[in-house]
Amino acid sequence: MKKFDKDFENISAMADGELREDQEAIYREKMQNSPAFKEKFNEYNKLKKTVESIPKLPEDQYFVSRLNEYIKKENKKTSGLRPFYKPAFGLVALTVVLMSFFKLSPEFMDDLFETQKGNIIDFYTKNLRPYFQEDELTKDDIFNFAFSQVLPIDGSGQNVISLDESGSGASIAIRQSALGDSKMSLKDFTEKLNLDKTQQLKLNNVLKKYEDKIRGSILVNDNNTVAVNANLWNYNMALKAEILAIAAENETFAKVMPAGLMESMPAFASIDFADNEDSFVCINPDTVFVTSIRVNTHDPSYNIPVVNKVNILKNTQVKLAPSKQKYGGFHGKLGDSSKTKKFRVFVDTNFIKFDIPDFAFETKMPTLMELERIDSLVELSMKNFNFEMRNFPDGRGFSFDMKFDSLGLPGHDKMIEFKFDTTDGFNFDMNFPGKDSGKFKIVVPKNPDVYKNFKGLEGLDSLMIFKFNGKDTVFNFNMPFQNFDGEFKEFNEEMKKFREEMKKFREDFKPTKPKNKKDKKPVVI
Amino acid sequence: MNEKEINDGMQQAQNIFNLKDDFSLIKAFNEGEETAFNDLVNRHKEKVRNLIYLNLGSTSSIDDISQEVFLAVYRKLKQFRFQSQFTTWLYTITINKIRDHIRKQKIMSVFSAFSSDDTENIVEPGSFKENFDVNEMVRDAVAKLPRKLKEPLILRDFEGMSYQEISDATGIETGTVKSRIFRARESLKKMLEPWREELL
Repeated sequence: MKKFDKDFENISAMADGELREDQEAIYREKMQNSPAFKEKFNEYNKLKKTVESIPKLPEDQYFVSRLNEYIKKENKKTSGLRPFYKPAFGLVALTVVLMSFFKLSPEFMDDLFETQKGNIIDFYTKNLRPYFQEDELTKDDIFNFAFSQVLPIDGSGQNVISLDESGSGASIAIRQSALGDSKMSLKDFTEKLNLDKTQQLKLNNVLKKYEDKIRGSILVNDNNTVAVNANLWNYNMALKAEILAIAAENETFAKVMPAGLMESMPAFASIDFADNEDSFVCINPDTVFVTSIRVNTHDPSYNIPVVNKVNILKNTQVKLAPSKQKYGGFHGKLGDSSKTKKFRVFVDTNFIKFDIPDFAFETKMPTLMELERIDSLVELSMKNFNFEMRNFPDGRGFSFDMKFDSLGLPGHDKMIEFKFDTTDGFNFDMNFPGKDSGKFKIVVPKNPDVYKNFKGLEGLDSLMIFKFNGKDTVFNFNMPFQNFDGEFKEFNEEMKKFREEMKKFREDFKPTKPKNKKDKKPVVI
Repeated sequence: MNEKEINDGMQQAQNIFNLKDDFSLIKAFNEGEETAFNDLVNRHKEKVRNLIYLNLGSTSSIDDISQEVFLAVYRKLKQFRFQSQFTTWLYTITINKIRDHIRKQKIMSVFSAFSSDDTENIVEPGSFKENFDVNEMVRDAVAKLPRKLKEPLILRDFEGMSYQEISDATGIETGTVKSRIFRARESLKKMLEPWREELL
């Protein structure tokens, strides 16, 4: 078919006289031999004549006159400028005018942007007032905040505001509470450290002082804005340090404190937090920004509760959630448009987290990391360990006695003895006190050839059997190194049996296949 | 000397005559003789108008497009390089203006429920077989051809341009011109099939 098309195309061209002489000779010969080709040639000639014979439009006698008028009119419109150049000229002229204007008054745009920015910030930060009412933050909340950096933001304590460090700066998160958030309580702290009445009063005053500061650091308003003062991080560190200072008056605690720690702490009463006092991280469903806010605490509306304040936080979370990561602007002061001052916002279904890399902690303060290391020491001291260290005379090991005072552990009020001797290989002795006192010994000889049989301590916990029956404490300790292979073999056999039973169980309960629909007989009515 | 050779010779002589004439008018206009432009317009206006008419299939926009064509000629005549026939250059401008017009019509049709032009030009084969005008039928059929096929066919059969001139005017290869003219004829043949006896 295509071959014929090509032939017919050439015949069509021949009808137009556009075929080369040699090709035309070929087709003339073909036409003599093929009536179809001849017919096609005639057909195209007829078509050509048909089109050629289409009558022309009647002549327009006045076309030239109208055209001249049209040209005159168009020439007037262009005023000597070609249409192509006209918009370009306009743009150039406009650019020159604008450049001149901005050259002469460079502050105009800055003012304009700052005014608009200021208007928007005013809208979002209008009537900010404390999230927590006076009776809503307990001393326990403040104490917990010191050590866990979280504050409960609803009555049930399910949601918290959490502080953290992020790289070189700070981060703040609104999230669901976690089990590890609260490690110690004010009651335990007071009792375990045997704080006297003067110390308790001092502690209460400290907690009260920071309660006011924290209240003034987390603000909300009716425009769904949550504003967190940048000083909250500093308050947290200062609060913890002041609590530690009170704890350090206790002899037991002082023993576990790293030497010189308290001396290196600044006098908190003298720290001026004013630098960050006006700096707030503002979180709104529409935007997130940092700005300077001067809150009038004497305003009568300052203590008016915000309705549905918990919902404000939840709505913010939900509305920001579709975008997992955003970048917020850092509006420090008017005129400050530094692009480097950005912070990231991470949003998920159960948390919002803001990283503020440029956030400056109070320089005199120990960092959160430094203070967090002390948490374990505080906990340690609260467990009332009696820790006595003895070194071996030749310096090849050490031993210590520890008084255990934890409920549920054997040898209540007794000493546990640890000995670690490197004189001949590694010898580790432990003596557990109590009714069924246990004793075990790990000996790793010097000869490295025996190390390959050393099973390690990884399995120690899983093989340790620890039972507590009423008042009787039974402490059986199976070392993995004694008959380890035998027990392991037995364990494997039991697992094999268990797998077989499970397999059988699955087969027994395997759902029977439904009968094929085709097998169903139609119901005869 | 056979008939074809005689015709070719006459066409060549006419071309030479036209070239000289068009070129001299252009030169005269470029030297400040405004009336030379009117002579040029008078000589070619009907070809331009008919070219527009056949391409669009309606008379409604002929005057506007023709004026646009000659306004463009008036403004660009000083840029004419005398490297091709004036008619080739003129038809290039005309074809471009027709394409612009069709493009604008398509954009306009987006904003209107239906285009009046479309309704005017519907050809229903066989609908007026009893009392039909052959020429109108053919003109409508040509207007219904796709633009790519219609342009070279009209320039060839109505304006009598060579494949090379059509190639210059439309910016397509001569091989493509040949192919499109063939396809245009085949399409036209199919469209006019009901009136084959009367027409072909």
